[in-house]
Amino acid sequence: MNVLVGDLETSDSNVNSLSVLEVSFCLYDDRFREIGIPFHESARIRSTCVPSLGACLTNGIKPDKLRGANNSSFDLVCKLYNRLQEWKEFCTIGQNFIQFDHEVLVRLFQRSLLPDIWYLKKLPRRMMDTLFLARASKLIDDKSLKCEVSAKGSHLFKLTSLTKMNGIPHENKHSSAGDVQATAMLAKMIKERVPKLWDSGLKIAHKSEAKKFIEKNKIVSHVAYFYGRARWYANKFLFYNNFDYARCWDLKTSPEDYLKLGYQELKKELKKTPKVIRTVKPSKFDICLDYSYAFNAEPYSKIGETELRRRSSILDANPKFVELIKTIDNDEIEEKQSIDQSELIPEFRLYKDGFASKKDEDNMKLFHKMEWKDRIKLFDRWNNQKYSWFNKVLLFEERPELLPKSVYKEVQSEFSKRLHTIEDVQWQTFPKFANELVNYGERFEKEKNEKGLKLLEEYDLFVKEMEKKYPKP
Amino acid sequence: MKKGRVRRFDPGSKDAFTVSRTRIQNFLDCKRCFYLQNRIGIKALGSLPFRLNSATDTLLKKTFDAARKKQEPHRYFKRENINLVPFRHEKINEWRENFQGIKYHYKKANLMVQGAVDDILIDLKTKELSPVEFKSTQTKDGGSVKYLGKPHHKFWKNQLEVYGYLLEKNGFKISEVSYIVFCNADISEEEWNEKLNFDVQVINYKMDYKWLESTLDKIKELLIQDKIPDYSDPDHCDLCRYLLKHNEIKNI
Repeated sequence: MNVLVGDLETSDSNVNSLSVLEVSFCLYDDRFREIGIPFHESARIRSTCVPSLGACLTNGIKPDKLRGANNSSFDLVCKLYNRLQEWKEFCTIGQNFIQFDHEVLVRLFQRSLLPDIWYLKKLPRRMMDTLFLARASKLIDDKSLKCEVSAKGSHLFKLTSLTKMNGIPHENKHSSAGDVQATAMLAKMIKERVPKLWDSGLKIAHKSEAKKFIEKNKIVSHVAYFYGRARWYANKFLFYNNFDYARCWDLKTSPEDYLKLGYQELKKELKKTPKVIRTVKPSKFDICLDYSYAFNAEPYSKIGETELRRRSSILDANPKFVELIKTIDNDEIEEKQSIDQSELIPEFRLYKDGFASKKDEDNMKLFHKMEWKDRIKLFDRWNNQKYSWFNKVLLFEERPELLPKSVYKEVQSEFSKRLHTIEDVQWQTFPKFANELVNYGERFEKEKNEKGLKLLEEYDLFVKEMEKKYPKP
Repeated sequence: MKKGRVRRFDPGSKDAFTVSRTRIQNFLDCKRCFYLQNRIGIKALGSLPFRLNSATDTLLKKTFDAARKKQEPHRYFKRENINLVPFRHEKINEWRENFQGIKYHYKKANLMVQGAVDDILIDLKTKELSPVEFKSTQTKDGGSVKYLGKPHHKFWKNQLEVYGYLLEKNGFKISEVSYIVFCNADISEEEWNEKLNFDVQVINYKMDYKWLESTLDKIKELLIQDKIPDYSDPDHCDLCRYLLKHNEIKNI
């Protein structure tokens, strides 16, 4: 299967509100030889989005790029979508791609009213992540990758660190094109050094296949990563909860003592740490391999395979117990959902609203066939008002002159409110930017970093210009 | 030879055992099925012959022969500015013939590797050869075939690499680039006038046949073992999946 390596550079780290500034995707064959022409494009920052100074300084994105790139955000996403369709069948891979880049792309597709926002995840396409593979690779074979060790003694799996330690050429660090090349070489290294992990990874690189793997194997070796360390879990699959996550029993603990507990007692026990119920997310490339890896690792190796299998068979023999865990689990999910009553802004409602209706999907297709001047006619035709809002915002960002005055004011006033707020919101605001500016200014002054201070002035000028468009409410 | 039985490996024989490029692919696909066919001698399930595909192959071969005679690039290659001409060699017909093909005795494993190529091109300046494979089908994804990203494209790549390997081992200088002439039937016509038109693309593929000799060694290892391999992953091999399900039903 061909491998599509991708990376994004963004204006901020909040996937719901950031602006994508650079996108690179490069297609490789199964031996990591480049095929066709790579996709490298940059875009101006959206006019409704305040940049995060931290992100811009890390990625080396200067103010002239924020305002001067050839593409708008919408142009960029349409170009990318067309190219992905041309490449057709591939397994996407990137460094921390699943938790960040893909989540960004899905939201970008949604905001751009593209109907198929899950395109990269839909069969025959699959998705893997070098971050998860690198952690698992280190766990399976310590010699497979060299890692820096942090002050706390944890292995570091940042791309720049992995490339430095493993002799992978990494030019233009933090540019999407440079990171794509380096990620491809890292993936190739993992594939060659731990081929079993790579092959197993491909088997779980799609949700449906990962579920099949878990169901078929019943006991799986799961790689969990927390407190800076990857570790094995011998997980016995029990059921899928309402999020479609696999809930599993950690065979480190025998289920015998839990069998006779009632609802409340069991609920209390299941909350205790270390947790006996573990979660495997089939849709998130949660690395699972066959049972042998965990069985041969401590503490499972000390318990022994016979005992571990006995514990597993106890669970098989007690379906009512498993059913009770499922009830407790799903009740907790419902409780959490009912507590969360906060009204989310449309950009944050990706999961909340579920899939688009047929009518809205048809409208999206229509939107992309239309010319800009006709797109204002769709404002009132959406089932879900979220899409009507995106429709208006796209016009506001791309062709404000085409908007009726009332709609222009509606969008402008909403963004004025959002961008000037001093509340602790999840998106970047003018006050947050000002705060960052002060902090970086103090730091650069201390360091006598003249270049840095000059750059801050340019960013400040850029944001001040932007502020003019959004008068304080 | 009884019906339903096939040529099989005899561990006691000193003769080289012939493995065609199809059998090499069979080995890569499913070790158990390969063993059953090549060691035990159970013939694999057959399929209906692809006569229409064979017909396009035959017609393409004729047009390549015409270009060979003139020693000029075939028109599909000319169109792509690929300045290679069909290779003229006394054995070219034998190499293109099924059950004949190009052969090489891989002595380390005592296997006779064999593969019938569709055609071969030569760069008259560098004298490097490039194997060519003809593929014809009907697909709406014609535009993305050039990326060779579908699972079955792996078979095409392996096929070209076996030919590249065989040509190299027969003493020829090989280009790293091989070609697929991909013919995609056009079904967009509203009315059919009993003619099938094709959209033809020339797709290049960079070969790397480092994998082949280690695979041949593994084939030999498998052939000399006395134990039938376990069922393959049912997601991987249709026949194993079928037989496993069949056994489950039988046991009810």
